[in-house]
Amino acid sequence: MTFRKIVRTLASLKFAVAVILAIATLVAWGTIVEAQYMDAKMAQETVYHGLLSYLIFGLFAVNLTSVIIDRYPWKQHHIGFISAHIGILILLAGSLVTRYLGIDGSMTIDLGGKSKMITVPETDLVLYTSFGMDSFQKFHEQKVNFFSTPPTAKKPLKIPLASGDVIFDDFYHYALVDSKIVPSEEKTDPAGVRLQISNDRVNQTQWLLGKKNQPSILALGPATIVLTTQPYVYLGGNVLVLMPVDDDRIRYQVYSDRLQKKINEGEVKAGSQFDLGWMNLQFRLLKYIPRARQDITYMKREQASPEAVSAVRFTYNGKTQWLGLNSMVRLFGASEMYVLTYGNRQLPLSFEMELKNFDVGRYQGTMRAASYQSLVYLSDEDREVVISMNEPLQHKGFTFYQASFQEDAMGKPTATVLSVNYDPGRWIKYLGSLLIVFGAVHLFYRRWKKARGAYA
Amino acid sequence: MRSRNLLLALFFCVFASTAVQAEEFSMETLPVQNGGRLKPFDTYARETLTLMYGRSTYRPAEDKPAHDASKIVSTWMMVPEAWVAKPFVRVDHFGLKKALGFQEEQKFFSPEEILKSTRFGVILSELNSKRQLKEKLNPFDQAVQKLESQMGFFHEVRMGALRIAPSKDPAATTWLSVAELDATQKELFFNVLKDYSATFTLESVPPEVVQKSNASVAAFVASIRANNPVLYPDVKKMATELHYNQFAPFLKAAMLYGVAVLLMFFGLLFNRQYFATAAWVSTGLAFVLHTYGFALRVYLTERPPVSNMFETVIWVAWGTIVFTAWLSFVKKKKYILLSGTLVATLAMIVANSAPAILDSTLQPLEPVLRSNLWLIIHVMTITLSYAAFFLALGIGNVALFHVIRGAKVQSQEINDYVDTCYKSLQVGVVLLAAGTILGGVWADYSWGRFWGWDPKETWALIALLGYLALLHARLGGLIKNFGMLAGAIIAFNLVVMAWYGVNFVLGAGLHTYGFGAGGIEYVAAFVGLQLLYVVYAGLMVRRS
Repeated sequence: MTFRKIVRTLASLKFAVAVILAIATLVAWGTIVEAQYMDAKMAQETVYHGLLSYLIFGLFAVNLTSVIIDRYPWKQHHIGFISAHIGILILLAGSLVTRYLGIDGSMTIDLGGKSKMITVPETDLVLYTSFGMDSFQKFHEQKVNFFSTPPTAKKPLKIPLASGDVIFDDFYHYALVDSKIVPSEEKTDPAGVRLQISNDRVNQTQWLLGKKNQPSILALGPATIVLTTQPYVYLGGNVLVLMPVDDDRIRYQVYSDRLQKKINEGEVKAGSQFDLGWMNLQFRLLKYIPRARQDITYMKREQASPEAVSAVRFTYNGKTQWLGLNSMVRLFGASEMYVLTYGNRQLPLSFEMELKNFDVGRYQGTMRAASYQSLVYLSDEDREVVISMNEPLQHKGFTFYQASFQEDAMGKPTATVLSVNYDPGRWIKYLGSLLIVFGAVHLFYRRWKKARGAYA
Repeated sequence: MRSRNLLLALFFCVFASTAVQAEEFSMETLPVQNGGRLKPFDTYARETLTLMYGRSTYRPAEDKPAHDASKIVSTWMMVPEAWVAKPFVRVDHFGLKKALGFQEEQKFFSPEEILKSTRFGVILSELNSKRQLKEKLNPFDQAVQKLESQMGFFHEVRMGALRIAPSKDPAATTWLSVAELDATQKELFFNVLKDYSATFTLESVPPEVVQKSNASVAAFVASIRANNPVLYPDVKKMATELHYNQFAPFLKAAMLYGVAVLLMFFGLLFNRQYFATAAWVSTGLAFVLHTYGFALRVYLTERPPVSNMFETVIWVAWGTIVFTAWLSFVKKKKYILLSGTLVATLAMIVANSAPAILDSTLQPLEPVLRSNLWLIIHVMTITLSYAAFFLALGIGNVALFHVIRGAKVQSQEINDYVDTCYKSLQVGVVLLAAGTILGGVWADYSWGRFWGWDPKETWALIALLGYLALLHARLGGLIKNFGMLAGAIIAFNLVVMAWYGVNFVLGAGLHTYGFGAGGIEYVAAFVGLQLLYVVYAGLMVRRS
């Protein structure tokens, strides 16, 4: 008796109208958040997948369940009513399955390149410890969602290390990265040079920052520039070697691929130039910083933009710095070295995909893309398939959609972007949808018929 | 009924005879390549003049007759010097005029004075740096962007950048511009312009002058078609597009719907049957023209005509008339026709009167939209639901008009209004639910995401929830007749938001194909007036 009463209250139309309006208001707020930050992720994290959202949709489910129970024992004329309302419940259930068991990632493959990793929206902090030069071991891994729960000075995130904690205490949702080579106070820091290489067709200006105890190499097409403090051993190719002498002068050596030997050497200062001897190229040293370091600053933005990334601030060993999403930083302890990464999680596929070709069809006389498609090679089945807009590839439970592509300044495509999806909730959602539409039509049709009967 | 069918048949015969002609050449139908497709010079000229001047015809002074766009734009090529100092570049944005140091009340400016303004360069470089950072452009930036493209277009046309002939290189899909033509073909094109300009007299033009002009066009086409006959379009199709431009079926339909509204209004005032009959005839004619316009658009674009704001507004008006006819047939009540034609007229006027905001040009589609089946089903279903809600809005307005004039809210008469309104909402809810779900199916199929909380789909959902709340509130007796009628009017604001607001106000999300700017003051005025109307009617109900 009391159960029936509770059910009746929860099934009331008043409650239903209130919940429907609450959902409408909530999601409307979400679209405003999205417009304000120019970012769908912000709206998803803070509104659509927020706590309040779960609460209101939970009440909605309670209301729907109650109203179905309340009509028991069901009659034949309840078919439309029950179908529509159960359909919504099933649709909601399907959405939960998708959200918690599905994968919604993306995959970027360079033209001619291979990949087997999907990038998903979840982010991880990973620490590696170093054992000697290039051998690293994963030491700590932690799932973080700074986007919805950013670390603050009051509620920092700590990762304990032997020589003190790494403390994360600030987060920019959107920041522009600015990378500069600046003079360093540190005596042991390597040199930095800004150089220009030009002939009548090519003109390239680049920064080159040296490395501690090893040569720093910059490849510029058929030529290589090496900045080093150690004696250089020539192994072939067109090579320019730069060796800092003191705070003013750099010693240079030029090797020719054609002659397989050193063809020129001398000293150069900031502002002076010399001929390289290959392809009529001329070298000019624009700037020379004897002790330099890379200074990466993150400038906070209020809105998302294609250039902006999120970044987290941390302090370790008394040094405070910023770490951008999908980047890494080296940390130096008393005697040990760590690498800290913050990035989107990568999931491996059981097979590899290779981008063999990419075609863009354009509207006549314009650069507007009319259609595009990828030709990919599947390593496990040794076959090639075409993925195009609206024609996805289904393979091993995953579906690969042609999402977009990257192009160079000349408009030549350089990589394909596929969205990769695994959705165990799909058929549940489709079933729910079908029931909703069938139920609504049945419900209204029955009422219309009844009403017309009343006129007659 | 039979007379109506006869009328229909007659109309199609007339249209068919005007649309299909033998291959005739004229400057207006000369194909040009622009905006990713081939279009007749007339369309190009109208679009360009509308961009530059805000209208598709040019009027040198208030008391002078208007000139066709083709004539105006061809003179930009022939005698650009004559235009440089003429104030015909329209700038609307007050802030931009101020920034350029111009008079705010002035509407038109000459290319010369814009280029002379020292601040124009500074403003442009500011816009460029914003573009490089890929930041969101505010209305001021959009106004600058528009002025930039206005100046760019004028410069292009006068420098001979109009793409007019297929390339001789069989692999090249980009056409040659006037400046790139070889000497012979250039000469032929200058003949075309020269002979065309001979037809520019305001008095009646002798037929031999027109014939000479058309003959030059034919000679030019014969020469350039030989460059690459495969890429050269069917001139008949160009002629059909010219016919679509000149015949303006949607404008004529708008007027006839308006006539029907007036007739119905008098019919209700004087209660005479012949007014209603005349209104049906007018509506029928308008509907035929409306449908004919659609048919032309489908033929010209080779896709269903629901891919931008302009097309959906036209389509919703069409759907409203279909639902009006259906509900009138079921209920046999006159006020339904009045309500339906009222809102259809409103929609058609909006579509026809704001070319700068609702882009009526024929545009190629974005890649993801190029799957016609899903596009048809998903967009057409949702916009049809808007049509049903729009009709409910019309019925609500007409019913409240009666209430204001003293009808009792709980009377039999108003009960009937509410019943029709309710039915219209039911149809809308079913269509919107189905359309939203089909949108999910399409998104799942194309993007692998059934639901992604994209603002456009989210607002469609909000509108659906709003109407569902209304229907449930009515079912539970939470609202009575007045609440139902007021609700049908107020809830339409959700549709306005989903339909217009997401693209023009929020400006975010994946459905960016239809994004635009402008018109917000008119839409806000519409929303405000409707709210005031409801409040006023509510006060009248209170008083009685």
